[in-house]
Amino acid sequence: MFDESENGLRITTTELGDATLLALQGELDPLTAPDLLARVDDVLSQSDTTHLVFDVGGLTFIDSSGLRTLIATKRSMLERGGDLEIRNATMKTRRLLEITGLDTFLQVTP
Amino acid sequence: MTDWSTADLAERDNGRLEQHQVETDDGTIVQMGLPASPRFLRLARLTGASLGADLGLSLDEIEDLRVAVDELCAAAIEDAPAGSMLQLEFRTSTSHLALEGSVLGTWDEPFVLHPVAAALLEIVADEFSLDQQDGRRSFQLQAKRPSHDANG
Repeated sequence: MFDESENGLRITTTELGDATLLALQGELDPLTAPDLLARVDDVLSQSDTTHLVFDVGGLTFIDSSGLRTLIATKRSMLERGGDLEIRNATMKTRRLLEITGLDTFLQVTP
Repeated sequence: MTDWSTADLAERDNGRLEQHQVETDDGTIVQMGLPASPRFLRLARLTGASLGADLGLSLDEIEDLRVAVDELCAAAIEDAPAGSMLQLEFRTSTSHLALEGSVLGTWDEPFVLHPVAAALLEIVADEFSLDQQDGRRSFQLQAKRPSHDANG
């Protein structure tokens, strides 16, 4: 398990067999989105994982920079033959994914 | 003459944070000066949410307002010159909340809102505009008071 907390976003990384889980707590905005992208780059460079899971249940805020991070990560995973799963979205996060239509592009699970 | 109460929130190497608040006959005016850095966006969001709650917005409407304030402030400070400040003025009245923001600076390229940000703003903001000219990037936002209150 790797725990990283910077700038108001805590990222906890856990290996789950073939999958890697990143649990996000706090705010995903222009300040913290680069932290998440950097963490994803670290994970993908250090493992062959093809199943990345973002547990977003702990997010208290997400804006377009956060949504763009989800899109960029999804594309990175597709390029390496894998996928990104968005898990445990709160009503607020789910609503933003729905109104932007991203719920059809991203794999959103309970 | 306006009787401003002033609260200095903090002092940073790259700028001074200031907030002024005054009560008017039908609402509140809050002026803020923040360093043009993502680090301070949450202060703008918090102020917008607080005033939105005072206006009687629902939880979803406050969340929309929080996102709209964040998106416009983030757009205004994108690639802003080092040391520049984001100036904000929130005004509430009996019918709506208005926000004006601006950053002074010189940008090499015309400003283009990212498509995801534009799509989000179209949904969460009642009315908004964003402009860049004459060494100034500015925006306006308006959130209307819920119709059920107006009718009630």
